[in-house]
Amino acid sequence: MTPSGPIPFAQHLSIRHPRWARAFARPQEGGLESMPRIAGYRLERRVGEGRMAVAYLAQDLSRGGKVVLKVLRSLHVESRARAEAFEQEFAIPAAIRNAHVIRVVDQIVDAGHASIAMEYLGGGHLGRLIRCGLTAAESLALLRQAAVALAELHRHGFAHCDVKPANLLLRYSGDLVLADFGLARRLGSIPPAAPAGMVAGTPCYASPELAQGGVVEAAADVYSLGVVLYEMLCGQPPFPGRTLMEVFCQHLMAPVPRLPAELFRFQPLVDLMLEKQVSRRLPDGQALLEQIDYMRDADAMHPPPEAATGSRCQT
Amino acid sequence: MFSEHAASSDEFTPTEAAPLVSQFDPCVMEAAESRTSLWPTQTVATFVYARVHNFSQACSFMSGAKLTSFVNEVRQILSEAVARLGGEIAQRRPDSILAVFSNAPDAIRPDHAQRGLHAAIVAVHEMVELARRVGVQSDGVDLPPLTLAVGVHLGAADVAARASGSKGMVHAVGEAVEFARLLQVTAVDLHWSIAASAATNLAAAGRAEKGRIGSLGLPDESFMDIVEITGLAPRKGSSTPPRMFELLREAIATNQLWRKRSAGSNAGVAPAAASPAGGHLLVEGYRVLRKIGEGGMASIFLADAGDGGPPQVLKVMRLDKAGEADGLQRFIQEFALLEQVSHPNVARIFRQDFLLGHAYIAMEYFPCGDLAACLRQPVAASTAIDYLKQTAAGLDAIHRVGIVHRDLKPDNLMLRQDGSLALADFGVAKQVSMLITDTGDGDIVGTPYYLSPEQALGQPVDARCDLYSLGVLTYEMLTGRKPYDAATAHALLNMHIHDPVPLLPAPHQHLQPVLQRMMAKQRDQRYASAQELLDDLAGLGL
Repeated sequence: MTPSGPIPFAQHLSIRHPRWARAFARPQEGGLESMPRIAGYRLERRVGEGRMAVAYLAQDLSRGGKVVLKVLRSLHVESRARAEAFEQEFAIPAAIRNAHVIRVVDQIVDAGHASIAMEYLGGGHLGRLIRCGLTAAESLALLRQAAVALAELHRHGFAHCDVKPANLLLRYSGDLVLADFGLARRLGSIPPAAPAGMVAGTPCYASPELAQGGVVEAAADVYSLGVVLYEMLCGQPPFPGRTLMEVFCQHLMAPVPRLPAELFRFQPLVDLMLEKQVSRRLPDGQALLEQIDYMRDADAMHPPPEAATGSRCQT
Repeated sequence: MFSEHAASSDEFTPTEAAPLVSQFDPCVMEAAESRTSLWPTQTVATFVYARVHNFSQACSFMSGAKLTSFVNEVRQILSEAVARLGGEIAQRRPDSILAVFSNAPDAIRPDHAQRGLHAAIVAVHEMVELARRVGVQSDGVDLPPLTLAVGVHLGAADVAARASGSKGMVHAVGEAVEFARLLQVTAVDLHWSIAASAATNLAAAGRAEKGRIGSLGLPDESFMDIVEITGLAPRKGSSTPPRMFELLREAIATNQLWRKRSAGSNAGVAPAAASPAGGHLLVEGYRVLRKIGEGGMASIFLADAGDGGPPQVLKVMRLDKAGEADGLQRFIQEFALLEQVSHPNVARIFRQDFLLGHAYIAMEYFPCGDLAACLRQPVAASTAIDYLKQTAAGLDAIHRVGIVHRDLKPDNLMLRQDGSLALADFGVAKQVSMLITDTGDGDIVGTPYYLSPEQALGQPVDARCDLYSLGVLTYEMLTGRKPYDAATAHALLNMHIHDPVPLLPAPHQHLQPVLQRMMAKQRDQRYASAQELLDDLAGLGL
């Protein structure tokens, strides 16, 4: 045991308030790790976690390469509805072969776990890019890729029903991929009845009609993607609510906010996507795609001045 | 192995680092007979993992013979503590040791838990003595203090003799070994000298003295109760001078103090929630009874503070998630504000702290339930007025420090046995996390019966939105009905925004002006503050 030089031990002492120092100290390495065992895969580390499933980065032992394994939490305690959701989470992306829809590899059900193996993308999700800051041109390019995925999904007769930045993943190349079909529903179906006046869904992105338990329509995904677009452009959600109740009610009642002057050309698109009346909103992914391309063509003829300003966050 | 002379020895000079164990009664019953089998056998035993902190830093200040003798001394201290109490060594590193204490399978009264804890205590004492000597020898160099952290757990693991035939050495693999290691990390995180599972301490039948308590979350979502070991208790009829036990207690306290200091923590360290090895949830000062809720970034438990008082609600939040939700700054501010609120009509906050990526708040638990349950039957007008005044007083207290509730409703007004009412579930003190996070998978939000027009419209919000909600609640308490109700949330919100304030029935007409000023559509037509409302009520002789 011959240490090669002094080891810095005073690093803790420089932090001003010990209370905060402890709050942000790094957890220690080692100890018990609770990785499930899944035949055919070697789990490497936990990469994400939701209420219903935990995601692990894993080595695919038979096909080789890295995959993400999404392992359902405690299978046996849950209902039939959840088993069906799990089933379609594999079936829907398996049926759609599109560069902007996540590629699923395998579905594994064994004694202890139910899991889905899908491609590992490595670029994180859109939320991270939004926090970092995006230019208008980048936002539009990302929006178009999401619209391609939605158009394809809607053509297959499904609505995603949970479009949000966390479900829009990125490849290393920067390409955007739609993921997580656990809440997807067939178009025209009626979601399981909720008590009158109750609102359910993912808080910040649910469309007014979905929040009130209406018929599943493709336009709901357009609305959610509209919220995402607003966040990409402005760096913050369109409505200022701090509690779930506030945000839900603002989706129902609050007028669509005005974009700042330099983003004015996006206002019609944002309005068409965040329209509260389904009948006046862009109806589906295909219509959205056409609207975006129309806007691009217009831009090509009259290039916007902001193209030169660059990204808001230079890292 | 254990000499009898110890009890008669009245001289104990710490600087000589006399192995303290010899000062105590010969206490060891038969240790496990020497193992012959090389095959691992599942053994129930007490596992002790001890690790020296700042070991390499201390080494870096030494060289040559001094370094050699220091390293040997550490090794000797750790090994002897184990050997003298009949333990076997499973793993030895320069700065750490893993030991197994077991009894023969047919032992009538197994004492391995007692011996394991005893060895841990002795090791801490010896290490403190060594740290003192090293400190003296370091000639003014500011050495980081050497401290020992020990984890002790009684449980099952596979134990086998070593093929090499080295005496007293075994292989040990299994869950109980991992728990001992986890407890050692826990001891580090909590600045304890020795962390033992509560079951180990129980099995030791009072041999060890117990300090603080805590709960350690395990992968299967269960909790292990843990205790801090603070000293060795004399056996019945012990002839060991009480001073010896005093020395051990002092050593454990000193070890702890040094560690705390070297970690840069403040002296009055509060209980804490932490995320030690592998993201295990760790709560100090509480025995977790059960989980009662789970929000986007928080888990809520019912916990016993171990002080004989009623259970408390413990909300533990992950700060990394709070940061992702971009609300960390707000969260920190509100957390600080909450500390300033002390009012009978606001749920009591007992403790709050941050540690290792978690924040936690311990709050008053209300077994009597909330006002929503109470309102299922009609309440007398006098009771309604009383509740109105109490709620207004609670609101005034939180508004004064700048907290807006934003979600006032009967479910958030908690009743106490004595009939008093307390405001709960606001801001970071929400007992069911309602703050927005990115993780919600289909949250049920409820019906916006109490939401103010400005909240629905996304306009700026201040304390007066709580007065609107209180107006809705007042109407409901007086009449047994909601002022606005509709088939859909959309229609209901339209009523909040456009419909006139409904009229109170005849017996309550004198309160109509008060209701108008709480439920005004425009907030500048409402009372300016909860205090103004209270003054107005007082003016009416209520």
